[in-house]
Amino acid sequence: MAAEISRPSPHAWAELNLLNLSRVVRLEGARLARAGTVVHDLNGEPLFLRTPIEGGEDDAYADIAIDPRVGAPLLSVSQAEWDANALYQEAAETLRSRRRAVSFNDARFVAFSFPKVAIQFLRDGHEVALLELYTWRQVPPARKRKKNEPPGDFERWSFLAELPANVVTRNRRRFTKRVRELDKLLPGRELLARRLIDADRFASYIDRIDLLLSDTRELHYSMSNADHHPCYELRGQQTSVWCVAASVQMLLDFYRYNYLQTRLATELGLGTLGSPSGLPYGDEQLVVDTLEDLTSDALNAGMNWSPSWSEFRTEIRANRPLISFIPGHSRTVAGYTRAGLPWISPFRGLLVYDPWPPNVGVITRWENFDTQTYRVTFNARLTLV
Amino acid sequence: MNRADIRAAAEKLRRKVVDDPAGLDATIEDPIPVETPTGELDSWFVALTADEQLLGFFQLEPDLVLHRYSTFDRPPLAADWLDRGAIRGRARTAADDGDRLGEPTLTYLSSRDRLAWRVPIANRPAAIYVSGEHIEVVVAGGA
Repeated sequence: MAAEISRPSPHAWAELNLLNLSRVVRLEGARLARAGTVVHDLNGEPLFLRTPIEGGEDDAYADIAIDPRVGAPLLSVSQAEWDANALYQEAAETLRSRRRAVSFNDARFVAFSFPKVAIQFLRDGHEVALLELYTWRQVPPARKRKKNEPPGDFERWSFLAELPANVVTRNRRRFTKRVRELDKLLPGRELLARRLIDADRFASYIDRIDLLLSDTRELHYSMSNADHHPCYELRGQQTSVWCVAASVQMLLDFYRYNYLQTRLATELGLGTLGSPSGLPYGDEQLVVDTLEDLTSDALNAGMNWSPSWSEFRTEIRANRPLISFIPGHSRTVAGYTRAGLPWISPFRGLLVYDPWPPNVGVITRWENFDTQTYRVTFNARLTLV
Repeated sequence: MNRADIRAAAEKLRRKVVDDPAGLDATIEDPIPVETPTGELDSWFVALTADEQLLGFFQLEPDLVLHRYSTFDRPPLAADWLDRGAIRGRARTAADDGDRLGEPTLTYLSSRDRLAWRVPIANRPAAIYVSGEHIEVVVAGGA
């Protein structure tokens, strides 16, 4: 008896190449196997295809969607061996070794508690045993659960039958959208025929990787992405403690309110070049006041004590720079990037105009959003347009 | 983890995040540890240089995750940031007569993003912080 097999989709191959290209997984030089093992939902419908990835540094396999209700063409990549026939034989041997031997004439892989898989043995189409992979424990019969009661740790349930209707709709939509995106990447027929995973060659076939991999925006003169010329300038802080003054200067410069840093320092109570001081904790409101006062309220400034990624993204997409306080320092933010694939933790980076070192500053492209502590942000909106 | 691992991580990150041609062709210098004020490893500073100029740098977390990639608008001399002798020489210009200067260590002032070389003054409780051309004498207990 052989495992039921099927050919993996080209979309999954494209996804694997994208993952490899973005260095999320190491699959360089490997090949997606010609065929994978069909894994059924508990209700009997084919759900996904577990497909070995051959010839790489380590054993690996991919779970590739068959049913669009799972929501994506590629479900996962695992660093482990997948040998369906060996597993079948092991499970059958386990079954035969039991005190009461069970006869069967068919078997299949079943996601009995998605994504956990078991081998289901059948006689004349009816289940006679359901053994969890590797442990070979018998999965107990289904039980009645209360409304909204989640399944237990070792319990059978149908992924497809339990998907809420709104999730089914959402997953189908996501799946279709992703397939359409990937269709644009599929002209690499030579690679496809060889099922090869190769970063350079895959990249050379396509020119839309950036669109798929990243959501990026920097400040523009206008809301038109096509019209771009750098319109944001770095200002180094003129003393070792005037990072706030330099940050305010950068933001005001963007709106063409040009003030010397010394003047801004006076407004912010930061002393003079000869006797400078930093902005004390608790005086953050002064930043808001200064932005509004020095623009005669043309700017409506705001302060946020709970900075979030979505705030940075929203402001930049609205073409508005931000001042960002981190512990002990102040800088401005003029762009963002979010690179990666939807189901992998993406890289989130900010384009930071940092006034340190004094009189020089640096442009940070990119600051890893997940390694920084964001204390306060200040935004400013034009009220007179 | 050795220096080669850190350089390799920086090289990998360069392919991922650097898009300016100069940065892509620049030399990746030996990693320099950034120490916390108490002397622990905070991060790794990996400079990118070309024509004796410091174009930019990676700052990597101890586990080599990218913290940031930063570039200069007007690249300073690489020696200002990488040559301990030059840094000590610059610190000397702010020292008092008779001050004995110790070995520079790369650290930061107030925030880990405000990198500076700390040159201790051995004969009094003070240190000179050098950040490129910027020099600051910090007396223990002072500002």
